[in-house]
Amino acid sequence: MSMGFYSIADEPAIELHPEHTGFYQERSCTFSIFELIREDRERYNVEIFHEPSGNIECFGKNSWFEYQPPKLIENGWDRNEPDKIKVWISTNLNLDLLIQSIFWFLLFSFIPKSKQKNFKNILIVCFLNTVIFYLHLLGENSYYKNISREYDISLLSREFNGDLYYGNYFLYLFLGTIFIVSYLVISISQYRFYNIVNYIPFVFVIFGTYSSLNLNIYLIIFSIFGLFALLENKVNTKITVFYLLFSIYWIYNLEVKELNFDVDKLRGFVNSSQTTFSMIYWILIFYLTVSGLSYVFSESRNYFDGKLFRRNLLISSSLVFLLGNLTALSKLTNYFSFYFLGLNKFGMRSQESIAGNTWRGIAPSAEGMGEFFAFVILFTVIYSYQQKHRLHYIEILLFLITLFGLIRSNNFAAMSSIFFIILLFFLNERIGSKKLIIIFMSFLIIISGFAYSQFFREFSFSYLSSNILYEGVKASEIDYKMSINQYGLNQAEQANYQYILEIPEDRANLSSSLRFLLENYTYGYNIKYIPSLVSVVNIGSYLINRSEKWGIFFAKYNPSIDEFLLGYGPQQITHYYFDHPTKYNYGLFLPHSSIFNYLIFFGFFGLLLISSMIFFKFKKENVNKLTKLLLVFFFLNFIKSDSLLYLPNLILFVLTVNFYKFKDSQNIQQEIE
Amino acid sequence: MHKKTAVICGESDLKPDFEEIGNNPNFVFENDPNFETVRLFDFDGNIVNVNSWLECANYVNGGWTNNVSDFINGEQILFFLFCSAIVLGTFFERKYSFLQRI
Repeated sequence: MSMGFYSIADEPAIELHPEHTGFYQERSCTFSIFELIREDRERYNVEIFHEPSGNIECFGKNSWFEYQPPKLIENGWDRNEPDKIKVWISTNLNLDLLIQSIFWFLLFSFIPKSKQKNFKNILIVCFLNTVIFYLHLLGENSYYKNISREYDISLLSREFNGDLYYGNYFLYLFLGTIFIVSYLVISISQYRFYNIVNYIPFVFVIFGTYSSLNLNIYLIIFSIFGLFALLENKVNTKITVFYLLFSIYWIYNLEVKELNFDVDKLRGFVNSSQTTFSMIYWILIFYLTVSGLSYVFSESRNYFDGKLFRRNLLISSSLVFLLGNLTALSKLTNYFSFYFLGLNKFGMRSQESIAGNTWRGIAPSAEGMGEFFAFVILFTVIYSYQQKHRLHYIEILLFLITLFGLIRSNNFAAMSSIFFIILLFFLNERIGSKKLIIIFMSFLIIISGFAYSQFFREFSFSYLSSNILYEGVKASEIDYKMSINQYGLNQAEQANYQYILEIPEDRANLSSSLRFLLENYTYGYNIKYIPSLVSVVNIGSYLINRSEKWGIFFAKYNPSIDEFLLGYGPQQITHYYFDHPTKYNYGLFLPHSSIFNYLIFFGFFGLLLISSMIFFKFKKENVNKLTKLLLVFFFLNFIKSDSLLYLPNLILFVLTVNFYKFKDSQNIQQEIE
Repeated sequence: MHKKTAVICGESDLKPDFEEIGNNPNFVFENDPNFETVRLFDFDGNIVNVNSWLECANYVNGGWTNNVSDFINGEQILFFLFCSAIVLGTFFERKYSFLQRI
């Protein structure tokens, strides 16, 4: 790991202790991670982080050292986070690209060989892919400038005296690596192409995000297949035309800004900049990745092995859970799992949930991980029942581990949705559809009525029907001195929305989406005794604990009419973050709904197109029950989770959309019929 | 403009003739009040504070830097290692077809 293996430090490392802060700060790039870990006497809580801006010769060595005294946990009143020592280890962009790619290719080569796939135009595809990733480097310059002193995108430039300067090894290395990686992807995958589909679940174990780049290995792999699909004319023409039209609007509408969005846990699958080149890159890469995935799944439809897929789902979900626990046990495991699994965020350093955060193991989001665990359980139960494939006793153990993982991830939405879907499935299997609907609906109504009477009766309808709006107004930066009542509450805190709407627009500072909702709620047409759509959504958000998050979303989401209809472009979140000032223009406040995320990216028309295409295709193709149930599960969870912002979850979703094509699942359908 | 100069001294439209500056022993760098002083050092550890872009560029052109890592061109070393690995890899691939075997 460390380039410093060959060098021996002039003086040995000393104990990692707050009093030795100066010693380590003065001796950066001196000690390898192993030397530092040896000096951890466990008297203090030591946390190791990575520093992506390291130089090549400092790779794997200490970069910075800091002592953090105990600090109050946010909203924790008197609870303190214990003091800790933070140590940063240097990594380097070019070395990461090489080392991590080599490691992942090694793992990729473990996929058993299948029938050989003969690719044509290999060198053209490698070249095109290299150009696309050159666009990435060019477009996201503010991100890369920050982490590399050597950042330079000129292939050839001139010295002051006019001589040609061709010593830009930073760029030559980057482009050379992308070209070779593309070539290796093709070379390795041509012998296992038809088997990739069966090993897709492992994308949740190997997240594939490069430690210092805003790049993910799966984008490289599937964009290559996307290029092959394009060259072989195996892409959906209608989708391509629509996408092209949308793309023209996105590029035309883009307001170029020099900014650097802190990608944090979304690293590898979100635009960090707001430039034309980065926009073009994300438009291309999103299209090629999704096309590449569809291409792989369509081409290998006759090679899908449901039993193997189920086993791989169980192995990978159990591995995710076990590795998540393992990273909390050792600092070295924590660091190396981050590096070699390509995690977006360091795995949890503790077995317990901290400061209200749910346990998320190695995943960047507990929601996304919970959704995966739930998917595995749902698939295993329904597939095993339909196919009458009994679980091996080891698979039962893996199933139980997954179940435990789901419970630990505390994803109530995922748990309840699989409960209802499995219930629906078995009722349908046992009783028949008409009776089932009546029984199920009655059951749902009784349960909902009971839950409401037991848990929510202390809240008035007025509060429940506007709690997103209340949170939205609270999150808005209103520059107006409002009158206060005898309890010291201003008009916003009293939920006096008519008053808020009458404040001059430039001072109220409400986002266009929040203003629209407030106007609709306050002045909209109202049928007596029937709640409006806005009220229903507000009540629903409370029941699924999304009032605050969605309130913040509406406070921030400030599109014009055409931006609302057509969106900002794939993975473009900077407009949402920076365009409209609110109390939440810091940190990573995500919309907490994949529907809202895609509303930002593709607009209302885009969302409508995506859902109608899936719906009509399924109606036309007579899709099997398993696929339908899995999609219902996804859509239920997309309402309240950001999972589509993570590449593994998107891959799993695209696979599910293509699931009906697999021969194995067609057999299930025939059996059912 | 030379990339390292831009990183250390900042951007400028000036196109200096370092040869002429070097050959003129009476050349005096005028202080630029708008230029934030930059501290540079050479391989032997000598330190100089420069007060204008031209002076900064002149020193950087002469091998001075503000970052110890500039004395080793890690990217260059890695690039040649990378190229060697590709040559070797191609040779072995042609002879043993190891990509097919793994």
